[in-house]
Amino acid sequence: MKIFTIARWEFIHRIKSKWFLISTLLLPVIILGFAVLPTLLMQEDTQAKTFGLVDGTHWVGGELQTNLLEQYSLKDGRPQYQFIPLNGSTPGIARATADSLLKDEIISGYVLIPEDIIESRQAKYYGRNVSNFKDLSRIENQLSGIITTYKMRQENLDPAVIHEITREVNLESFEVKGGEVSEGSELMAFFGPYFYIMLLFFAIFMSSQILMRSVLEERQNRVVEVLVSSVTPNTLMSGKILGLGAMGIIQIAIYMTVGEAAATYKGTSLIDLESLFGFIIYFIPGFLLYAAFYSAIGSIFTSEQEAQQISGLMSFVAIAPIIFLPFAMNNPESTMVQILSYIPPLTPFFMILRMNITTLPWWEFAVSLTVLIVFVYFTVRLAGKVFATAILMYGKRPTLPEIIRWMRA
Amino acid sequence: MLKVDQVTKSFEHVRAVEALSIHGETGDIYGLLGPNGAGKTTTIRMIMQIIQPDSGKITLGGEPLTLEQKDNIGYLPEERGLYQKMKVREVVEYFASLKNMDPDKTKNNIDFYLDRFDLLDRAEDKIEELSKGNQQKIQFIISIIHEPKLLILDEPFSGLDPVNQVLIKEIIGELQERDTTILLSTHQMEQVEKLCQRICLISKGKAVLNGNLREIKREYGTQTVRIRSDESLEDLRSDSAFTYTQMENGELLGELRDDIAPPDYLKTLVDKIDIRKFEVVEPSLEQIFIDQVRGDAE
Repeated sequence: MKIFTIARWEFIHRIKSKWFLISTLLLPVIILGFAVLPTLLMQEDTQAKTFGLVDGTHWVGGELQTNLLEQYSLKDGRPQYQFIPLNGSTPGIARATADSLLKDEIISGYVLIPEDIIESRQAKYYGRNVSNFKDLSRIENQLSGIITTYKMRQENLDPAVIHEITREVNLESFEVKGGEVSEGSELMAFFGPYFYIMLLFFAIFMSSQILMRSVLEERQNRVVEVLVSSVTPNTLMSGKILGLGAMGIIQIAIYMTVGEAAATYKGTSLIDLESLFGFIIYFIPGFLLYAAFYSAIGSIFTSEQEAQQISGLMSFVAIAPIIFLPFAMNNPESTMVQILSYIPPLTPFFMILRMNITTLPWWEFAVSLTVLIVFVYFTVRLAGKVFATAILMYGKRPTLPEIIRWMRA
Repeated sequence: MLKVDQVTKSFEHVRAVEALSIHGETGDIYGLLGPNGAGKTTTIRMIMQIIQPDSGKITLGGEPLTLEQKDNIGYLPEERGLYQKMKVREVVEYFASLKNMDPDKTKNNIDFYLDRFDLLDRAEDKIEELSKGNQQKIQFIISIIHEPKLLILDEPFSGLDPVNQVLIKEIIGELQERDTTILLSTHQMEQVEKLCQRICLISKGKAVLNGNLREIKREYGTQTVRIRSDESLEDLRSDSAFTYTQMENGELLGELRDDIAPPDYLKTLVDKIDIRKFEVVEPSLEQIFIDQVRGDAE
């Protein structure tokens, strides 16, 4: 079958191209980077930090030092924070010492606890950089704790009792789908839809843009003349769509594997069978729709710049679901979102979005898929007619009435 | 072998090809001539089933055209181009596989023709690394790699140096010996005169001349004579037997009046002057082409 010969050629040459390698590998690397890197960075505290301590109260600093020493230590057991108490005959002298130590990089910063901290609830930190918010918030929390405990004792309240009284309530969330109750991961409930939508977007648009470029290229270098002497334009177009569809699926598989690996690393799971099945069901007609459209665009235009303008406009349409995502996540049942999921070019995006947020009745799948498939059928047919006629036309670009006439033929 | 029978094709308001017939026998080299826009490309595209004729019939080897018949046709388009980033062997293999060619046979043929064109050492190079002439040779190989029964060549010599033109001509000759029917579309009349047995001259979608080249020439212009003599031919130029004369390399080239047969004129001439040469000149194809196309335009 010549259609498979063409599909194979497209598939192999796109998979082997540097562009595919870069775009396919780069995206997961970026996603992984965003997912894992901050965690890695947070955990990679391997160096003890030394702070200076100028304590106007002569007791708060000591407690701070003890508390931090008890609570935070490095992997090798050494304390994470070390404090050098700086006492001078006057606070001014102590600060001057601290400043010079800071300048000489012996300490990375110093904490200034004023005499009236109990009343003012104000302390100060001076450091070479103040973006180490994790350290700063630990110091802040400890100071707050020390002062609060002190105040409770003053008021004859038992800190243990108060802690017990003010203990926070934990709201545990569960996801109910089709009568089954599962422990919901808020993180995944949030990332899941994003993940699937981005996946769909990239898979559809990367493949169809490559398809468009491939058609343009064959028109520009006139290879198409030889091709249609061997196969019909329909076979040519179908073969290309098949080959690049296969490439898209490989891409999705890579992204899913990486995504799932990242999720596993975070101790959760991104992909369940149900979502995967839904994804594939909507990916296939969605891809066909855009692929047919883009191959027709590729056959009409002679230069990539011209074609890019139209295709850019098209990706703008498809980016709508991403813009709508936050709204749809908060209001998955809204009429607006429902209507949008029945507009065929948007159906795959909105249906995948909605089914990952909420549980949809079966008829929504049935109706949206039917509408989508009917629409895809006509789009592919019309695009095929345009493709077959336009692909051998050189010189002037066809006008819209001409294109419409071909569609009617 | 190739039979185009009363084929007509219109595009919107333009009649591109009208009642055109071409009968190419097995092993024929059939010249398809005509000015730009005459309908040659449309004819070729109909033979290749890229477009369908409105009426008329095309058969190949007695069989009506089917999709399978595409595998029996080779095509070298006038506009040249290949996948620039791909390797020579890959590209040729791909096009051969699109003609349902057996992979082993493809390999043998690729080696044979690359060697024949002195490009065997470039088989693993990318197309873009080849010179324009060499790319053109690769494209020629693509058109014949699957041993087609019908080979359509559109301006196969343009852009090639004389050495490679001779090489292509040799290979066309070899293909002809192996019973390949060749449809040659070109503006290079001297190539047509050397290669073609039959021609079809199209103007405005219609065949104005069609058939055996030698017969066409014989029919076309037997009134032109070339005379050489040691004596002066100046007096002869004003002879009322001629409608037109000119001097060329000391010879008189003249067009006789339609009612005077060249042999009769020769008889009267021998009495007048001492003739060294008297030749009935066949018109050049170029002359015929120009006359016909001009006549058609008037």
